[in-house]
Formats: sequence, structure tokens, C-alpha cells
Amino acid sequence: MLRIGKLPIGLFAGFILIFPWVAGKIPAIQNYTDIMVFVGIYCLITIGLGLLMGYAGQISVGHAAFYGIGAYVSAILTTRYGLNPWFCMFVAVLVTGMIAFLVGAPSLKLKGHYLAMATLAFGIIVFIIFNEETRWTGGPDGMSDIPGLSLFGFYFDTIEKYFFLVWGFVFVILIFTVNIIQSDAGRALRAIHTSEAAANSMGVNVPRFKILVFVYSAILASLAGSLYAHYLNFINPSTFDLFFSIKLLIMIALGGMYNIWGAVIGAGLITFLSNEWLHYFEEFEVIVYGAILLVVTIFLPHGLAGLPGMVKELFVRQKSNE
Amino acid sequence: MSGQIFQYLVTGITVGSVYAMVAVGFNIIYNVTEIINFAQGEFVMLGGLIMVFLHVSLGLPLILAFPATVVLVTMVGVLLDRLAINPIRQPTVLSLIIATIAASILIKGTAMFIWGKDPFDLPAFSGRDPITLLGAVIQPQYFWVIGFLVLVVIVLTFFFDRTIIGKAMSACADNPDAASLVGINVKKMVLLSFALSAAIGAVAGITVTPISLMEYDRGAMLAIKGFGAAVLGGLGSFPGAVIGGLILGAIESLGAGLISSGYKDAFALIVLLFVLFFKPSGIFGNIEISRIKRF
Amino acid sequence: MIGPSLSGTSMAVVPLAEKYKTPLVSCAASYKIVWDDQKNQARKWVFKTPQTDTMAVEAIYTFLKKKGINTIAVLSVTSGFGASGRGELIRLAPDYGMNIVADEKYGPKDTDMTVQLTKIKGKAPQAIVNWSVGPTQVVALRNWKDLGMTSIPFYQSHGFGSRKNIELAAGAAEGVYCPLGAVNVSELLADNHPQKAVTMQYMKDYAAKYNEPLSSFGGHAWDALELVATALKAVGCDKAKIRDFLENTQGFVGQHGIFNFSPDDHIGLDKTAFQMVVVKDGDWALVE
Repeated sequence: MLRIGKLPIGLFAGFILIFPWVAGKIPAIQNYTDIMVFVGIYCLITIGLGLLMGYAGQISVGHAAFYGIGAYVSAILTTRYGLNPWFCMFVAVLVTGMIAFLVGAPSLKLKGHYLAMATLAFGIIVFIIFNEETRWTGGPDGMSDIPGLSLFGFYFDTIEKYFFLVWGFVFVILIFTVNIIQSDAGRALRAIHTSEAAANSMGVNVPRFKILVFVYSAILASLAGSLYAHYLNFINPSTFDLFFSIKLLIMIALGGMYNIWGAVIGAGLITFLSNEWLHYFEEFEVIVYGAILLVVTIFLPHGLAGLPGMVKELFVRQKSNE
Repeated sequence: MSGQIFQYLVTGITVGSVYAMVAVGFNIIYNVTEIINFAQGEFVMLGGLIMVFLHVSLGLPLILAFPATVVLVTMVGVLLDRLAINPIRQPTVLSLIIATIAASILIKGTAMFIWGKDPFDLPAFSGRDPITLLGAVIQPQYFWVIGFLVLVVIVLTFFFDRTIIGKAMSACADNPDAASLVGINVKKMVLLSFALSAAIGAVAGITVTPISLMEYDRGAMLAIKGFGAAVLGGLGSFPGAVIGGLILGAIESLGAGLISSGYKDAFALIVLLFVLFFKPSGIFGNIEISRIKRF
Repeated sequence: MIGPSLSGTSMAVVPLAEKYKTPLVSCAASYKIVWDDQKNQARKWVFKTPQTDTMAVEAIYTFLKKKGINTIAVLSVTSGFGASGRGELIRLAPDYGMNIVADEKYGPKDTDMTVQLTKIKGKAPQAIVNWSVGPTQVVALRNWKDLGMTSIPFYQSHGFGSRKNIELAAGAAEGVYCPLGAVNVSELLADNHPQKAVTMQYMKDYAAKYNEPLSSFGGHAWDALELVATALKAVGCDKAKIRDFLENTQGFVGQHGIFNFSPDDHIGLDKTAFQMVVVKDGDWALVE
């Protein structure tokens, strides 16, 4: 599914536009708009991470770190220095991008399991720093009273307003990323995923592409982190732990990493499961996540977004058997 | 001050022996399949908790409970292979990593369901009176840990070098297609590697719980540090796992003692990153071999 | 709303309680939950029932001062609970003439504190104060005993408040001090102690229903629930009226102390909400 047409994007945009209005009318799902804000924030991360894993074929088990760095830079600069939140968001993106470059350059030379472990270690180190550097980050108690966002006097102070803000970001990034995938750069990425050696021999600068995608995915995570901080007005390190990095992986695996819609589907499903539908299981929802991840890895390696493709293949195979 | 440093070293080595055992478990599976089993730490956790159930709750004597626990955890290892690894039709690095991560959360969640979040204790094998060695204090239970570590390494080295099954297992790692061509049942070898690895993890858990208690979520940190030890020593090398574990424990201990105790966990991870960035083949590893490996 | 039980989660809920003008009675420790440091006033809609770390620290420091101790070592876990306690220990030290000669930390999943304790041993403090919950507070005790440091008195935080912990320490808890809310030592209270009746009843009810020894944390929930129930019975379902009623509650006898709320004080307790307790023959015993 490489051609991402205008129709699906248009339909999805329509869905997003009417969602808060519809949810407001149905008492049972009134809080769904709030959940969708989180879905949007996580989509920003999964779009980038999906690109990294599905197209560039690199794994990161520590992406919560970039999400956290974005959130903390925004929080620190706005609460301790009173700077404009949009400016801080931009600075956060720069800082995260630089850190991603510094960490990515040596890490992406590693293969498979080594890369997974390196990103895992990095993620935990960042988490420990958030916990330890109390003077800057407030330590385990976190940082509160983070200001909300406003633009030219218009305050994003209701759930609905923030919903449109976040999904506005998502659509911009979605379209931008789709353009990357369908460009020469996207073809180069897919070549790298299939075979680095082959791509190399065709003249693709493999290390440069891998780092670029890594940094891009980190920057998106940083944006998501800043938006999160200004939404909840409170952050603390436990949001950015190893389990969140794993949850991101579950989103990508469930949704499908070879298809940008997979990022959206995965983020949507897992967020709803975790914020709403799995409450019955309380803390045993962990078992459900483990089961989902396992089942998806074994039976749906292309995720839910890959289902149409799988079904088509079944038909094709049936036909050719006849 | 030097007395303090000596205590740090002694503590580091004793703690490091636990990391070494986890590292040995990693190496077994890696040697046969080139998979890194993210659920390795959970075997340790299960070893401790199941032993608590058999020895403390049911009252079975140590001599019986120990092997029974190892057998039970081995079965979990077998289940892991059968349910999570084997069914994957087109294994890629990504899918295998994710499968073992999934298994580790499943095991952890189930442990939380069965045992809850409380910590549990085991009686020490030979009492709790600390032994003083040249001014540093050690719990006698640590000698059991180190003892079993040495035993395990000797047995495994013999197994992989001298027995047919062991050599068959090594052959699978180098080239599974060639191995099956000469009649080795690769799938069975993979299963065996998971079983062995689980057994060793269980031994680690049983021997360490009397010192540091055990609870449902101890697995993750142990797995990460154990992996650090394995990489430091050279993935796939058993003596490497031991040396790696001891060195990692020592660095962690000295770092906490001399620099900052708040960052103690970070030291092991920073060492891991350093090794991965500058010498991924580790101390005993061979750069050529690590480049040819499939993953 | 009653809860949450952690300081971090409480801080996340606070802005919503304030925004939607719904009274929140938290069961978490940090004073920041009810106090806005920036505006230097109590948060209008938020109350809490557990004693703060400040009170626990004050109880310990008062006791230490009485015993003539003034050099101490601080040991804490790097979680919210540990960091908060450590912060208070450092902040209140000068007020009680305490000199902190060592400040060591460990992680919540750590299995060995020998290194930290060895460092502390080298600084020769007159007492050690440890701030953590979970298995680490037990492991620390075992290490303390192993290293032969039992001549240096060991003080735990109120997180130690459960007989299970004494059991897990395997003999290393003997002689260890900690501040506990009355609910933990109901049997030891004098008959004319104002909380005697309420805590004894809770202990009986809890054991009858759950068949296990009570732990400290349930008491906080009991206090919160009873406060809210009393308010509901008095003024009905109006959120603002409930808030006002809570704020004016005086002399409420709870599991962990006697609550006196006011517009400036949404915690309602002071350091007398803690009894200093020592472990003797494997069980609690009141000191003094």
C-alpha cells in the first residue's frame, strides 16, 4: 500500500472534524474526545517510529526518551524562564534532534539486537536523569503548573480546542511524511530495509539515511512531548519509562509498520484500550498487552493495516490454485 | 578509605556473579539461535518465586524444591519457544525481538497475578551470619551463587565442546541450513537452548532470593544488566559472560561508592553503550565473527 | 473524588479538580498536592489525609534531639516517596540542630545497599535515617546488620509500617525505630488515647473481612472515606458545600490522627499524628 490517495486522507479529515461534535452528543462516549487528544499525540510519535522501523528497518526500544526530552525542555523553559511555549517547543525540537544525532550516529552502525539494546540502554539512562536531576526536572515529583498553549490571544484551553490543535499537527505531519515516502528518499529507505548491501551498491548513502530517519522520528516524538506537557500541565518521569517505549512498539506492531495508516490505527487502538476499554482488568492489562503483541507478531506480522494485503494474497493464491 | 574500596569491590563481585549467570543464559540461546531473549530476566524471577511457593508455602525440603523449581521454570522456557518463537513463520530480527519482549511482559503480568506485588523471602542455604574476608563483609549465600555459577559454566563448556548434542547446538548458530542438511533437527536444538537457558535463570533466582528477596518485576533490570555483562564479555562466550558480569558488578559498585549512588543503575548501562559503540565484540569476542553473523 | 494514592498521580489530577471545582481528597504523601508553592496558599479544592513527610521527619528529629543525637546519615530511594522524604530531612535539619554527614541513594529495584552503608559507616554518624518503601527498606536492614553497624541506631520512614516488613527483615529489624500512625499500634495505645476506639475497631473489622494483618495505607483511605461520608451526610451533594464542610472540619478522629482543617491547612494533621515506635521481640513497642 504505497499509493496513499487523497480520498482516505480526506475521509479521515472529515472524521476528525465531526468527532468532538458527535462525541459530545452521546453521553456514553463523552470523554472520548480527551482520549483522542492522546491518540493524536501518540500518532505523532508512531508516524515517525513506523517510518524508522517499517521503512528504514531500524528498531528503537527507547523512544520514550525523545518524547520525554521534548516534554521536559518545554516544561523547564516555560516554567523556570517564562519563555513563549511555541519558541520552547522549537528549542525542544532542536535539542532532541541534536541528541538523536549524537546517539544515533554510533548506534545505527549496530545491527539488530545490538541496536535494540543500545536504544534500550539510552532510554533508561534518560529516564534515570529525569529522576535524578531534581533541580531541573523536579525529580520523581515532576513539574507542575506548566502553562497551556495560545496563539494570538486564542487560548487552547478546552479539550475540543486542544483536540483540533493536536490533530492539525498530525495532518500536517501525515501529509509531509507521505510525501517523503513517495519521493526518491522513500524509495531509498525501502531499499535500505530490504538490503543494506544492495542499496549501498546502488549508490544510496545508507548511514546518512538511517540517521536522518532516526532524527526525524525523534523530532516528531519531541513535538508530541511538548504538546503533552502543555495539555496536562504536569509531567513526571514515570510517563517516559521503558514500558512506554514498549507500548509504542505494540502500537506499531498492531497497526502495522509497513503502512503509514498502521501508525494511526495502532496508536488509536492501544490508546483506547489503555485509557478506556481495559479498565476492567486494572493493572492486569499488562497481560493483555503481552498477548496482543505476541499474537500480532505471530499471525499479523504486517499489522492490522496489512490485513487487506493479506486477504488479497489469500485470494490470489486461491485463484492460482484453481 | 582503602577498606571501603575493598568492600565495594567485594560487593561488586558478588552482585556481578548474578549478572554473570543471567549473561550465561543469554549466551546459550544466542549461541544456538542468535536471538537475544529479552525474557531472560523473567526466568530468574520465576526461579525465585516458584521456589518460595514450593519451599516456603508447601514446605518441601530444599533438596526437593530446588530441582523441582528448575524443572518448572524449564517448562516455561519450553513454552516460550513453542508459543512465541517457533510459530513465527518468517523470523526477522524485529519480529524475534518483539516476540521475546511480548513474552517477558506476559510472564511478568502472570507473575503479578499469581504472587501479587509483594516481595518474598527464602531462607539462606547455610545461614545468615556474614563472613568477614580481610575486613570486607560477605553474606555466605553469595558463595552459593558464585559456586553454582562456576559449576554451570564448567558443565556448559563441557557440554558445548565435548558432547554431540552440544556441538549440534553450536552448529545451528553458525549455519542452520547446513546444520539441518547434516541431519540436525534445528527446531529441537532451539527448544533445548531455551530450556537450558531457563534452567540456568532459575538457578540464579533460587540462589539469589535469600539475599535480596524477589518480586514480580525484578526481571527487566536483571535482563538489561545481564545483557550488558554478556556483551562486555563477548556475546556467545561463557568465560566472557563470567568476566563481563564480575567487571560490570565491580564498575557499578565502585561508581555508586565513589561517584554517585543515585546513578548506580546508569553505570551498567553507560558501560553497555560504550562497549556497543566502540567494541561490540566485547572482551573475548572476535570482530570478524560478529560481522558475519546473520543478525 | 477520593485518591489517588501516589503523589505523582495526585499532582496530575489536581489541575482537573481545581478546573471542574470538585473536591479531591488525596491519599498521597506530598504536601505539594494541597499547597500551591507559587501562590503560597492552599489549593482550594484539594485535601489529603496522610501525614506529610514533614511530620514524619519532625517526629523523628524531635525524638533524635531528645536523645542527644546530632550527626546523622541519610539513605533514600530514588522514587517520589524517597526524594520527598530526603528533601524534608535536609530542609528541616538546621531547625533541629542536625548535621547530615552522608547522603546516599539507591534505586527502587536495587538488591544490595552494602556500598551505600559502607560509605555511611566511614562517616561515623550517630544515627541512620532511611526513607523508602518496598523490599529495599528490608534489604537495607539486612545489610546494616551484616556490616556490623547495629551500634548505629537505624530509623525507618513511616513506609516501614507493616508487620510483614519486620518478618522479611529476618531478625535484622530488632531495635529499629520508626514513626507510625496510631492505626498500626492500636493495641499498644493507652485506653484513654483519643484514637484508641476508632483504631481498635478498624483493626477488628479489617482482620474479620480480609483475614490478614492491616497495613498503614488502608488507614489513609478509611480517613478519606469517613471524612467525605460525614460531609455528604451533613450537607448533601453540593460540591461547593462539601468543600466548605471539609475545610471547616475540626477534631475528626481518624486512623492516622485527629484532623483539624482550616483555609490555610488542607492536611489537618501535625507531628503528633505519629507515635515513635521501636521493634522489640519481632513486634512493635511504643517508645517513651
